[in-house]
Amino acid sequence: MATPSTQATVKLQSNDNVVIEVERAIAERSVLIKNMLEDCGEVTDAIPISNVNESILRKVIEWCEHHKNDPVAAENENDDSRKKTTDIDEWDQKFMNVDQEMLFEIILAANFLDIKPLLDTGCKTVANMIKGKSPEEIRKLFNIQNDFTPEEEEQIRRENEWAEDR
Amino acid sequence: MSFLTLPPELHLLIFEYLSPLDILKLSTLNHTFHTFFYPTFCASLHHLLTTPPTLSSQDTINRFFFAPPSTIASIIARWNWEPTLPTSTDDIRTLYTNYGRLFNWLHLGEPKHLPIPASEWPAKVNAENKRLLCYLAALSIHGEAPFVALLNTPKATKSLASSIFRNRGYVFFARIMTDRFAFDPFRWECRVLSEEEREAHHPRGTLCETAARRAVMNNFGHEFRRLTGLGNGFATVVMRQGSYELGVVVEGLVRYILQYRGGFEVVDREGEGGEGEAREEVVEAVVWGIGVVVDSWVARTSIGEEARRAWEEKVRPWREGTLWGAGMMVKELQSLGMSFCQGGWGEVTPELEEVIMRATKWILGRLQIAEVVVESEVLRELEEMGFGNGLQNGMMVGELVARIVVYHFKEATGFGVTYPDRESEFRLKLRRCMYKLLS
Repeated sequence: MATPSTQATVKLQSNDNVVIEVERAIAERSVLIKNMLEDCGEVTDAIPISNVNESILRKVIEWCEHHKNDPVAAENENDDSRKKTTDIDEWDQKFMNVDQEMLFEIILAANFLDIKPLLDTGCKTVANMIKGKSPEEIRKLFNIQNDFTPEEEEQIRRENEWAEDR
Repeated sequence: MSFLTLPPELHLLIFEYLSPLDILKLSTLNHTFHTFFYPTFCASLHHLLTTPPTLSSQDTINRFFFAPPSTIASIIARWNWEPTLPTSTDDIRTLYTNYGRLFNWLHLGEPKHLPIPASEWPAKVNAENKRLLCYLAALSIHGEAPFVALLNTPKATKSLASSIFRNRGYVFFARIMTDRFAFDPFRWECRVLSEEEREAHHPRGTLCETAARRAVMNNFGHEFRRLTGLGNGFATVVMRQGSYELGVVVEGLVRYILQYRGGFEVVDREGEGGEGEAREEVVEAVVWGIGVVVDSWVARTSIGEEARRAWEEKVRPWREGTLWGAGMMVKELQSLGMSFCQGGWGEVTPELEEVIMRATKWILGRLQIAEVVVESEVLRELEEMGFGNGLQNGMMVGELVARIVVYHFKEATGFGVTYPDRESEFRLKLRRCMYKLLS
């Protein structure tokens, strides 16, 4: 076990080799980074964030900065309340108001960096995009090609009639 | 990066915020989505059904019961509760099995057996009714719904239900109106409609149907409950044709189960017009908790040779059997600690004991069938016996049975039994005994 570090900032290196220096407290919103720092003690080299490019990393850091004072969820907190609602606060809504490519990349980065609140926000955002939409609207939203034949489509419609709003 | 190329674990995270129906919708987008997400939908639904229900999950659960049997079978088959789970989608036995499993989430346990092999189920029973029958059968097997009312269902369905429930000893036959018969609940008469009447049946039918439903609910439900003291814990199920009605029934069932099993309170008793009425009937029936299996079989007993044979074969033997059945009632009443009323039942002498034992054997055999036929001829005879009052007002089956049994007991034993119209406690105990006998 390394001795606790008093280091104020850490360097993060994106997969396109851009190094970004951030406050340690902000970086430690990522459980991955936090554990790494705790395990390694003083880290002077840039920590490679191999799955995240610069633009996404900056976006993630922006989120961490905004939420740096949020209470950290307990390690074993897998509470249902977290998942009961798809409500997203206003700042996060604006933060997530990005193109789909970036949204999914943020979700991937949050997953990789183990930033649960950000991951939840991303997932909620996607869920909210899907909710209440018709299949056709969802296809349009995600640019999905409908490759069902009319017969297949009719069959599916019949099979799923029970689930339709009446 | 796109939605589809997200790793599966992230899809699952997103789906935590979606209802199973949303996920089902995703599975309909194209072949790839179907391959990816249909199993997810099944798992999601399974999760919903196997975890304590919430108000928000009710909509999905209720809708699920509208799904075609094949869909339900295929969905349940994907739940993978056991590796050998059959996957045939059109096999009613599979459905039954799956429904049995479905009942696990209701904590009712596993059905022990299928009363009638699926292969012997009438082909005319339509798929929806098969599905519901499975449901009912499962309930019946668990003793949760000993009485079931089937109104205006196809004849084959009622016959099947009767068979299922008869094997459970739960069947009461009474009459209903069908498109061939008119039912007058105030006279308990059922007659064949003429061709002309059939042509002009609808308005009349509507009236009759309403009356029949009221009769069943009022007389069989409320009255039976009033007399027996049987309350919550028993379900009345009114099964009628049409998806809306089916939905009402299912809703009633679900509500009942939730109420009974999960401490839910039935609050949705409001509605408008016929819909509200139907809904309320079911919900109320669920609350009151008693019912009957209603079959139109007896309607045929008033016509032609077939009817006469049916009467001879089914009605008369039973009535004769009640002579002995009365003895069995006494025995049962005694075993339940009932002290006989003053001037009523008297003591059970050794001689009577012998009669009782013989009767018990006989009636136990008969009660495996437990056919109680309410038929106009029976009613006329009962009227002649002096039980006319009240019959005109639509006497409930249980009441009638009790009267028949008591009458025959009186005839057989010589003990004077004044039918205890004023002896409410006695009536209560008697009905409780009857219930125990039949359950």
